[in-house]
Amino acid sequence: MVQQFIQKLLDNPNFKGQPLSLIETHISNFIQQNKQNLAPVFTKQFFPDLNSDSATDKIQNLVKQTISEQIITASRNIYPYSINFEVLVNAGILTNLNQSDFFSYLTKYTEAALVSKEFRQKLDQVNIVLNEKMIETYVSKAFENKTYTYTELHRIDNHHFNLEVLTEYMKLAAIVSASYAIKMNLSGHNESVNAFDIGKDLKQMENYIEISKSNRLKLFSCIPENIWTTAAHVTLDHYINKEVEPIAKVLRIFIYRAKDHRTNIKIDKGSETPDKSWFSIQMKNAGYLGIDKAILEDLNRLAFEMRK
Amino acid sequence: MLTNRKYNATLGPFFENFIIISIILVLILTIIDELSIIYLWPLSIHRILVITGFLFDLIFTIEFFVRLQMSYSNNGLVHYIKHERGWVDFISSVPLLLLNSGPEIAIMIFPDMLHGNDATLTYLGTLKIVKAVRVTRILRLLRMIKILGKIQNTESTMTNRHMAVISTTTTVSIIVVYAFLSIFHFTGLQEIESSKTRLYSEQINNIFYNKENKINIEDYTEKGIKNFITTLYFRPGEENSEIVSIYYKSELIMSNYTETYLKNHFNYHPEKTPLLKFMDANIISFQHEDFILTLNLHDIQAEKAKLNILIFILALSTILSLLFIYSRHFVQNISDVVHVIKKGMEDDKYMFSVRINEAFENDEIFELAKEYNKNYLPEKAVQNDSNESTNTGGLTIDNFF
Repeated sequence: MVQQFIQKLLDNPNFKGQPLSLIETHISNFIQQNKQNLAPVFTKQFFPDLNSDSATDKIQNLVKQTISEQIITASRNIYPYSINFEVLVNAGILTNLNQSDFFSYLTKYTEAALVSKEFRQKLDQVNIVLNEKMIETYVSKAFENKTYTYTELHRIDNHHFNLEVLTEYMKLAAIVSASYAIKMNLSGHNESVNAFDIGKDLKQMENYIEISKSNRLKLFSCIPENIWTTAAHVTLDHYINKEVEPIAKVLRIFIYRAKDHRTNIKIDKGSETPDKSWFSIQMKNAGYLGIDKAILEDLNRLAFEMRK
Repeated sequence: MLTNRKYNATLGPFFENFIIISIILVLILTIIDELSIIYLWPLSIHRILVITGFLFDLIFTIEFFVRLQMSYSNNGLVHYIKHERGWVDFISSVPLLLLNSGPEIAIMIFPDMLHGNDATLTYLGTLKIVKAVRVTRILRLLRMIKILGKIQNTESTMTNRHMAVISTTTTVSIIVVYAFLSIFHFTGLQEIESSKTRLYSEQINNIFYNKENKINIEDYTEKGIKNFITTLYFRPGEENSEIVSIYYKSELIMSNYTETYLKNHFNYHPEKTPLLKFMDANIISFQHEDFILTLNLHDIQAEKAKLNILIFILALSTILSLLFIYSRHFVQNISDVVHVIKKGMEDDKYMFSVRINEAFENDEIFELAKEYNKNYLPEKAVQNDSNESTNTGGLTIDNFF
């Protein structure tokens, strides 16, 4: 009965097309704000043996668990068809790894979603990036048109990957970048923080990466160091750290884009397309989000050209 | 206090649909009516068209008074007349019934009712008026506007109202200007009719003017004149001849038309005196000296009918252009822009920027849209981000349970 109630909540028309992690936030906020009114109902209807606070916590946990499971399921469904491991293995980026091994790592990796809200959110956003094929679409078009993003990715970035390798590399980097959302206790911080929280402080970032190394290896020991580095750069504010890898700059934009992505949304006749709208809106907020405005402008042009 | 009050002058779905169908039919009827004039269809068909036209005008007149009464009962008389096109209902119904189809059907059914003390004067006077007000038939076309009002081609109230105003203004201008030009003989066709009458009068006059000089004819006896005129105007078998018949001292001296043809195609009353035999817009009879000439001016009436069809097509094409070309332009460059901005201001979750039409980017509306895109939306995005920790996504207690 309680599970039906939670599913009904998730299916609320107000949440139509929204990312799962955002729905979780909305529900959590609502329960927090209306705790006084809701708690007696939770106790009466679902948990007669629990007091108000415990019943509310129980509901919050059930919501979290349900959404975590849905995100994990989505990840497990999306990754296998999104990433071409052979390309990465052939390019020498992944070694001594077969596909089934990789998925067992992924299973272990995604399970962290159950314990970390921030990780869950980033994982959800990465799922959207992969599911919506943002990397393939925009990077391919940038290569095709030899735009600013192409110059950044291909010529300036030290990797010098071809398009096929680059897109697979970026996808894997996007997946592992979510792990930097896991919070840890760092000296100088009263509360636990993640890499995205301290993205403006390079010294703290180095500290975070060092401490998290063991965790990361536990999660995904098969991933080579350069991908972890690229993924770490995703968390960095472009305007503070000028050495951010171009791949990470592009990924950071896509992950932020995914946060505001809505599926099956009706596009009004006088409006721009969803991607074009988002890119043009965030150009003014590039500093606020710590994303590269020049790449954003380029993606905005590509979105216009592709009517995305 | 003014509110969004409903001034209910609607007749219910059945009657509203009935009226719409009637309007479409009357527009078709108007075209058929003009075609019947151009091709001089038999009188029997013309009579059916007159009766049908009268019935439609009667229906629309009744409709107008019913709506007027309903709006009056709802204290919305002014609103109905001014904003719901009550004035269009009026000018496309009452004047037509009183000046056009009403008199036409009256003459058709009761031809003798016009014969008072001075029968000739009454008869000819009425004929003249009927011919002059025939042009008011064009006012039927105004009913097109009513159909337009029913076509809500966009979801935007502003666009629909704007289109209604501009279509009404344009159509009324075209039709009313044309009606005035016709009534005051600015189309030139009336002059042709007058000049033809004058021409034949002068010809008859010349015969007598030259009597002393004996230029035209040898024999100026009554018989000689009759023979001369017959020779001059007789076109046997030519039923498109302008001269229908000539009477001399009330005696028919020649006719280019057979009685059957006259009966079938014209409002012809053989039993009446020569001057009163025709009650038909195509025929004109006039007296000169002892002669009464009857002319068939159908070609002029046909030209008038063609002009009416031209005006109908002009008005219709103007409305269609406005509806499908201009309204699209208005929607794309005005109402869609306003719609997106309004939605963005009302709905926290709506984060679409306005598409700017580069061709008109300096228009005030796009200047506003640029401001909205460049400043309002980015600030809203930051605001939404800041509020994320408190935002409930629109959940309420009601939809929570």
